[in-house]
Amino acid sequence: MIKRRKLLVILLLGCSSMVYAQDTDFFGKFYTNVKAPSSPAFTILGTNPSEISRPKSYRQLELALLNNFFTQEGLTIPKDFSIEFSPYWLKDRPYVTFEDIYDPTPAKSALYNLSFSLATQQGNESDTTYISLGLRTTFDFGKPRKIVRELDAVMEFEKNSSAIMAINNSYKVVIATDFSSFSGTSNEITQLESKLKEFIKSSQIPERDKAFALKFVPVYIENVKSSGANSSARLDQEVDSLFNSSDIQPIIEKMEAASREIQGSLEDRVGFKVELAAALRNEFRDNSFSDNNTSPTAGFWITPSYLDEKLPIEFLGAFRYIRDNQDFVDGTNNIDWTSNVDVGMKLIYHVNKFSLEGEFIYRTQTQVLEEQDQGNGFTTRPERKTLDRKFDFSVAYQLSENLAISYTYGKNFDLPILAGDLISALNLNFGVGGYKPGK
Amino acid sequence: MKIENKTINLSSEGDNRLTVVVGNAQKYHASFMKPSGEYVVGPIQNNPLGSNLQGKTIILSVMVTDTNPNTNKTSLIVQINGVEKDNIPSEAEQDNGQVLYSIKLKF
Repeated sequence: MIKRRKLLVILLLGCSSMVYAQDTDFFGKFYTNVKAPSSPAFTILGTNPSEISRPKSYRQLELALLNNFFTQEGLTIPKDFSIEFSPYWLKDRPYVTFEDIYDPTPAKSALYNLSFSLATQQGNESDTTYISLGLRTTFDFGKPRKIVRELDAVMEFEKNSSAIMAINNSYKVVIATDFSSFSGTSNEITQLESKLKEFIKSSQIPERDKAFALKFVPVYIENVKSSGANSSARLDQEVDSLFNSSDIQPIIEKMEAASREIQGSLEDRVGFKVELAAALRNEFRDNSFSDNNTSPTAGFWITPSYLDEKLPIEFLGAFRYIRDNQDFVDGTNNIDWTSNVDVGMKLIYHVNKFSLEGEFIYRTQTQVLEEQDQGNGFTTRPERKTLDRKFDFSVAYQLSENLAISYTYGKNFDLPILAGDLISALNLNFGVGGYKPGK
Repeated sequence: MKIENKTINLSSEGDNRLTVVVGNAQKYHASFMKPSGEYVVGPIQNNPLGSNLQGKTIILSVMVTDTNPNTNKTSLIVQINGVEKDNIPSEAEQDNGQVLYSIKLKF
C-alpha cells in the first residue's frame, strides 16, 4: 500500500510540471482565484518571498527597519526585503487571555487579526525598485468548532504540565519549609531524600502526578550530590535543572505537540467571516526615495465566506478591485491605466478525504489609452471596456496531513492569458494552504 | 523549557484570596499547595489561601504554553484580593515553547 502510494506521488510529481501551460501577466499573477491574499503587499508585487521578517515586538520591528532601510549614507531602499507583522501583538498584552482570542467578538477579531506587510523588489531595470504596502484583517462572526474544554490537546497539555508542576510544588515546598538553611552535608542530603518521599506520599497531589514526582526523587538527589549544592537556593536550582534534563524531554515534546494542536484550533472555526485586504505598489527610480511619484498600483479585496458547522459545505465570495498605472514610469505605453473589477464565488463540498470545488469569477476590465490629439484643438482619451469570466471545477484528495492531489478543469480569463484559456491542471499541494478536506 | 523564578513578599493580614492572570492570549495550567495541604489545580481565581499565613511560603506553579500564533510573549499577573501584586513578563524560547513560572508567595 505504501509502495503504491509512493509510486503515485512520483508519477504525479512528473505530471505536475507539465500542467498549467498558460502564462500570465501581472494581472494573472495578481489574482486568479476566489481567495483573500494572506500577505497583500507580496501579492500586489507578484512575489512569493522565501525569507520574510516577522517581528513580534517593537524592538524587533525597529531593528528590522533600521538594518534594512538605513545605511551610513542615510535612508535607502533595500532591493529585496519582506516584512509582515501584527501591530496589536507588538505590545505586551498582560490582560488579554486565551479565551479572549479563542472566541472573540467580530470587532475584537479584526483587531487581533490585523496585519501589515511591506515588500521591496528590484525591477527589470536595475535602477528601479518596487515598494508595496499591504494590510489585512478578518471580521469573524463565527465560533470555534469545539469549545476549548473539548479539545484532546488541552487535556494532554494539562496532564503533562500537572506532572511537572507536582515536582516543582512538592520539592520546593519541602526545601522552603525544612531546608532553608541547607549546607550540603551528607546527613542533610539523606534527610532531604526521605523528607521528599514522605511529603509526596502524604500529600493531596493526584496519584498519577505523585508517582511521577516520586520517580524523580533519586535522580534529583544524585544531581544534588554531584553538583555540590550547599544552600537552599542551589537546591531550587537543581529542581529547575531537572526540568531541562533529557528525562523530562519527552514530556516537553508532548506539551509542544499539544500546543500546536491548540493553536490550530484557533483557526478551526465555523460560521460567517469577512476578510478585508488592501495593497499599494509604488515605483522608485535610481533606488532613491527622492525620485518617486504618485501610486501606480492599488487594489483591495473583500472576501466573505461561510463554513457550515454540520454540513460539509464551504462558501466563499469575492469582490476585488485593482488599478494599475502602466504608463507611469517610462511614458511609452499606449495604455495609461487598467482597472479590473472582479465579482466571484466558490463552493466547496468536503466528503471524507475528497473535496469538490466549483468557482466562477466575472471580471470587468477597463483600459484607458493615452491622450490623443484630434488636430482640432481637442484631445480624447479613448476607453476600452472588456467583460471576461473564469470558471473551473476541481476535485482534490488528501493523501496525508500535508499533502493533497487535485485536478482542475475549466476556462481561465481571456485577457491576461497569453496562450489559450483552457484550464486542465493536475497539482500536488504541500503543507499549509493545500486542500484539507478531512479537517 | 524556560523557567521564571520570582519571590513575592506579601502581608499575612486578613483573608487572602489568590488570582492568577496569564496574558498575551496564551494557554496555561496552574497549581499550588495550600498550607493546609489542600492541592489546587486549574484556573486560579479568587482562591482562598487560608488563615495564619505568617511565616508561611506557598509555591505557585504556572505552566504557560505558547499557543498564540502572533506572539511568543507570555506574562503572569499575581493578584491578592483583586489587587495586582506583580506582573512578570517573559517570552517562550520558540514557537509552541513553554514557560514555567515558579513563584514563591512569602507571608
